[in-house]
Amino acid sequence: MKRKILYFLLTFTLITGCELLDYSEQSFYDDPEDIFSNFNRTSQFLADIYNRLPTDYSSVDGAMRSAASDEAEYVKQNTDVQEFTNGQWSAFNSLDANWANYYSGIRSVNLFLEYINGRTYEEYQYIDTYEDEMARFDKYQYEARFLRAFFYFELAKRYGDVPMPDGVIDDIVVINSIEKTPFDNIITYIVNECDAIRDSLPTDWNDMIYLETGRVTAGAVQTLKVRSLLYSASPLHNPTNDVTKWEAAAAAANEFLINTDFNYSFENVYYNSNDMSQGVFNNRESNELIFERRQGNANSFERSNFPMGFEGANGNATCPSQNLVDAYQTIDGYDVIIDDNGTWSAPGSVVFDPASPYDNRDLRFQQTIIVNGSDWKGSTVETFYGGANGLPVADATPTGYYLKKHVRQDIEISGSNVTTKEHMWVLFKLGEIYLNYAEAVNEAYGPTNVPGGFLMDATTALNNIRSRPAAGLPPVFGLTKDELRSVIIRERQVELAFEDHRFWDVRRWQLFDESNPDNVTEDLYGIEILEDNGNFTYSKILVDDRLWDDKMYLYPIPYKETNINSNLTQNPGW
Amino acid sequence: MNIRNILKVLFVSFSSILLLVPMHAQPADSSQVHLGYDISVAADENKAAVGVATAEDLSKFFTVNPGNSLYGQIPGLTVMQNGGDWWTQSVTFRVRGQSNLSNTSAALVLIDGFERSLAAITVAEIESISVLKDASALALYGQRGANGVILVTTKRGIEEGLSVDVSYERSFNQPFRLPQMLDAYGYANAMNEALFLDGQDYLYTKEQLDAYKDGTYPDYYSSVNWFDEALREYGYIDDFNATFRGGKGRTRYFVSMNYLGGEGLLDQSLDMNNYSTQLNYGRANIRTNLDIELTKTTMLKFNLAGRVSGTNRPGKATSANLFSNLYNIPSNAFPVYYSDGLWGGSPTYTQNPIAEVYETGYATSHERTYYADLTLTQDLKAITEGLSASASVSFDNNVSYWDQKTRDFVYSYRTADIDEINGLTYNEIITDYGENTALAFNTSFGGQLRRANSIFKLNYDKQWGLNSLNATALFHANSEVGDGQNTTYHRINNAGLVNYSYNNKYFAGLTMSYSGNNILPEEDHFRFYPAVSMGWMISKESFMENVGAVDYLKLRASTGLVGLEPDVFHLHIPKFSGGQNYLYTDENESLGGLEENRRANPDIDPEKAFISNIGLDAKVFGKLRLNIDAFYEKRSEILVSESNSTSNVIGVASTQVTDGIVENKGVEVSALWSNSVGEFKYSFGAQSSFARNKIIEQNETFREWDYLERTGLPVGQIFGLQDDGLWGTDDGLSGIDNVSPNGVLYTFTQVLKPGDVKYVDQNGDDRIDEFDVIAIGHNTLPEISYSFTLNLEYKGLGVDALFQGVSNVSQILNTAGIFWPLYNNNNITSFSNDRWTPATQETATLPRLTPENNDNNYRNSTIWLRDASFLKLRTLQIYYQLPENVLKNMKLERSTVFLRGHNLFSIDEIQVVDPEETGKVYPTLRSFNVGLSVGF
Repeated sequence: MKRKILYFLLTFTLITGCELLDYSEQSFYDDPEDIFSNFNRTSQFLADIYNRLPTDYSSVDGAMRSAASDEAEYVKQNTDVQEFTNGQWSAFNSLDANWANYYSGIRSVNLFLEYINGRTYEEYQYIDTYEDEMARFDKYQYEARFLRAFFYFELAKRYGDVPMPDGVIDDIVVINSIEKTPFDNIITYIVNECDAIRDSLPTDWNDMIYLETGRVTAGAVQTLKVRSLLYSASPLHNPTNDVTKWEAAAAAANEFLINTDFNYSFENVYYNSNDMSQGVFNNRESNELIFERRQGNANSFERSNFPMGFEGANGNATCPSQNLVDAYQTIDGYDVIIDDNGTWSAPGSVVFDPASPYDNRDLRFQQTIIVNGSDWKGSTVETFYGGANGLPVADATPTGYYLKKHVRQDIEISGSNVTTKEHMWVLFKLGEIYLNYAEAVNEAYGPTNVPGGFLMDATTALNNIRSRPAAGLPPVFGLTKDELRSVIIRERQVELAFEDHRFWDVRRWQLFDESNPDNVTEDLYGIEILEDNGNFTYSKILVDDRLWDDKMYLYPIPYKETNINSNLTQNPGW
Repeated sequence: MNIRNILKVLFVSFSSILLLVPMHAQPADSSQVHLGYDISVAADENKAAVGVATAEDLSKFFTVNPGNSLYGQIPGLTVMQNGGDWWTQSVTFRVRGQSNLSNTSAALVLIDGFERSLAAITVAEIESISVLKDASALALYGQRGANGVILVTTKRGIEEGLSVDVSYERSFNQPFRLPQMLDAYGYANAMNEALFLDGQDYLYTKEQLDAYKDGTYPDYYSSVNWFDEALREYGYIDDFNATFRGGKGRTRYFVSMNYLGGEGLLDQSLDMNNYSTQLNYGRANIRTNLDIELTKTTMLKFNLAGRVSGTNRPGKATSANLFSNLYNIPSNAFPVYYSDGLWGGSPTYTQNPIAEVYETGYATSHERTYYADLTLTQDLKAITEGLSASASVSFDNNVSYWDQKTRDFVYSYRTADIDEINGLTYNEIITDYGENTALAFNTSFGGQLRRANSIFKLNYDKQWGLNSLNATALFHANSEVGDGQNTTYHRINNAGLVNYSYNNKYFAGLTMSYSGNNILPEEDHFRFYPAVSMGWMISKESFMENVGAVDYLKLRASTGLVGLEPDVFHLHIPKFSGGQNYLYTDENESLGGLEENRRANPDIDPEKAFISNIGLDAKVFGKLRLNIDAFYEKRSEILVSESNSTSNVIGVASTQVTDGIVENKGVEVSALWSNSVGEFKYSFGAQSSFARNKIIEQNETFREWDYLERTGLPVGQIFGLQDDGLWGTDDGLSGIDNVSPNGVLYTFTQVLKPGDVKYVDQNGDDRIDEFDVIAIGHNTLPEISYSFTLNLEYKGLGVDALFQGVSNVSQILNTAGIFWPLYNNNNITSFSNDRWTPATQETATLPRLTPENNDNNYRNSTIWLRDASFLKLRTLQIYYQLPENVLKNMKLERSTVFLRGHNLFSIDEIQVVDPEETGKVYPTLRSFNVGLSVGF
């Protein structure tokens, strides 16, 4: 009897015991099925992927990437962005660490596509909104595929050849030995994806049931295709100058411009820091806007970039360079130069006054850059030495200029009424299409040819940018192919300033090559202004003696990655 | 001569003395060695490495927390003092140093076989404390054993009769050490010096400095010694204890009652409130341990222990923030109160610590704990001779809550300038802050913890011929439920033990456990842990018969596997949560995100400790007992991040993988010499343990330079920059940038100035940055800990002393305000007397003062590294046992009066504060006690 009791007790506890060990208090989903069997959670998973779209609002350790190009200098030293140009950049010290971020985005898309494939959500079919939800759901796969292509482009533009994992891979051995896919194959993949999904996406989400603007449109898909083909045709990725690559880029840009479903048009104002509704920047509703990376309300970009000396400014400013200022012509279309004696001139111009070197220039100039004497928040900005916003004020601009573009003057960062406002980052805008068109058509067919089925010649496309009301410059004409190329380079520098293009453009054109007729200096210049009784004297100064090495045309793959995976050969020179 | 050398000399001399003392013979030790689960083996047959402290050893300490009585008592158990409220001055236990990578290296503490808090019981209840150290003992605990097990056994009744012991002790305590803060004059001068060296204007004029020195304007220019104002000479503790130990017929009992209460160090001389705001603590413990023979074959064991305790403190100031204010607030910040009676305060230092004590009401906490367990043992010789079975259940509960009665008060900030010419104040500015409010009441739940256990055990003993066999099998289910998420544990342990001995000369043992828990994946909860052990009683061999000097000599060896459950739940399943939002629609509406946070790691495993031990127990010349143990442990399957071995192309945040490996080895020696000459009895003891670990694998991130690698070094090895002295005024610094004259860029500062620390550029890249750190010093966990004990007794009058020390241990002295002067607006102490100034640059050892948080000077470096070795006199007691004739007249069995002191001194290099506690907390204490115990 006793033995029976004992036996019973032991058995009893063993059984109950083992159930006890399965006890769990987890507070997360442990199965993708839990996410993707639910409409809302599925859309949330996609929202997280959208969130990985880049902005260049202080994206590199507080600075804009522009400060790693000849557009600007970042005020704070000993920061990552300085290391792009001071020799500190290496595989061990990989800057702009987005390798992992974009691969996370790509994995998320792969997982997303794997789990939404074929879902009909029948259990929801008696809910009123079922049809609408399904209509929205049906677009998800195309949005996700665009995002994945976009992430691959971001990776390829940085690193050249990169691995393309085939779906969700959990096998560490496979991941740690994955091989690179050549750059051109990645572009082909992106182009194929764009062609496959474009027509499944709306040109405008305002036409859809859910009015979910902010999502991927057909225009965005086409622009990614144009940009990808343009990069692949560029000298860095087209060393033999295979003209068919330019032709493909030109054709893609033409496809965009002749598409009658696209209702894009230029704004009459480039940027108005007091009124976002006038330009394309920070204006979600602009007709010039093709695709944006949205953001919520904030003022941190303003705190960083308001001229130092304004209360609330914290001096984490990305300051425009003299290199960039020199690219803005006079309003009548002539180059402005400042010589070694500090004398300004614009040979040929009838409107340029050397005493007021910042006046009568390209309309985009003072909408992009705050100069000495600009009005800001009701005060006159003084960037001259000893001025309210100039050195030796701590963290004042080292270049003599502050950034205006993107910076919202209608935000208060001091006093009792501090405000935050919405920002958004322009990823694609109409201007880029025209510039890409001009460049590709010029390279493929010359400055004035209009190939069959094409909308216009390269020069006309350029003048569409240059002479539109927002820029106000006279059109160019009669240029050779080489001359037009130089003008396009300068036009991109001006039109796309601080839009995270220049850093990449100088690389794809290989503009640091001495042999390139359009070559530019890697050094960064500013202006030093001295004031005497209201009169200013100027001198162009070297702000940053920068270091360039041809290996920097591509990023180094982080050492950790090449160390783990011997198939990931390091990029040349690193 | 540094401390380590002094200690070495002491140790060698002490050992030599031991060897010179003459010898007598004494019987061999016959006591039992406890292995837990109510299993014990005769000491002779023991093959495991087990260290023991007896009730007598523990009784030499007066402690609030019994853990504090273990300093230097058990070889292989490192006990480290922590500061904090006097009633919680907890200790950190490490059995044989550290063998894993995380901080979860704490040993498992069992009281009467169940996991309980040692701090919740009293020393008077404890019969013995055993520390299990090797695989043959620990394998019984399966997934809970690898960090060592501390077994606490409480006292039980006796066969017949009753013995009653009553004792009372009062303890007076004072801070072991407090740093010497500079007075207002000193502080203001230091601030001026700091500003000057930073190229800024003086903050204080000569007139103001004079005012601080002379106390001319105490309202505006005050000089306050905050410690003097806030603290009194001593705190005290009263301890009453009564135990009843008896038995009659079929029942044996042990009953103990204890009350302990005391007051802290806060000065309460301003009689302002109708309640106390002192740091008070009181507790009442009771225990009943019963053994009842229900039938001739059935034993019932019932233990019930409980405690009610409570604390009291100022309403808004925990002792931690009170003391951090006492340390932080400069002497000149503001007066305690102004001449019109209003409290001082300032916008920077808003909490006047004296006002916080008196004016913020009071708060109490209350805690209740009970531990209950019952064991039924049935002799089953009816089935088979030697078979018995037992069943145990336990229910433990702990709950606490807070009750706060708080209020606000008015304080005032007053400044004035002093006229250079007439020396009078002008420009007086008075700003009052806050308001006086009535008491507000708030009660909050502190937390609860429930534990329940059930154990079923079968035991079998058999002797035949010269053979003897003992076998035990047990099943143990454990549940632990705390508050909030992932604090509920369920565990099951199926364990067994077989011991065989031949002729009491040769011993062999096998220990096994198959244990599991709810942390590991479903269908994979369990792991198997085996260990084997051998013993050889050499002294019983015939060839030893003629070796008269050796009374007892036994060799032990064991090897086996022990586990440690993971400290993270659910690693075996993927995790989807969180994620980033995105904005859609014309209204820019936010939609929350969801993402895959973590991949699953289906290969999750508990830590696996492979421990081998070899030991020797000896008794020679009748008086010297010697134990030596040497061990080697290899801990593998330690959780480390996967990220360093997995390409980011995988695209998901890394999980943790069981790739970590740590090796730990060491040796423990203890010797006790006891003898008596006539009525003079004496004993000397010494013990020392050494444990050194090494990281074999931890998936370390790639290091560009070899010297940056942590793998291959001990866990927790301190890293820092190597200083090359201080920059001097004649070294050619530009004073405007951060480049040294030899072209090295100091990246941690914008401007390098004389008096800043000069560093060695380890990689020669002309940059001082985070890649120039090297391994400096040791670890904050000592590798060596040792102790000496002394007992002398003559005709009832005796002396006990225990010295305890540690070595191979380092500290970075980085406490702002104590070691880092003026850092974060904090204070400055006499520690900074060795700072750099232009005048003292030849001899200075510390960098210049600066009002900024200078990143170049204030960071881990050899400048702040100190040897944290110490040798402390932990206890010294003088006692007198009343002689029998006196006792008879008083109808007493025994009676002792004693005086004792704890933590009387420390020899160390840190000197400014206790080397064991360098933080800004309620200080560690030195105490002086007087007591009386009576038995009848």
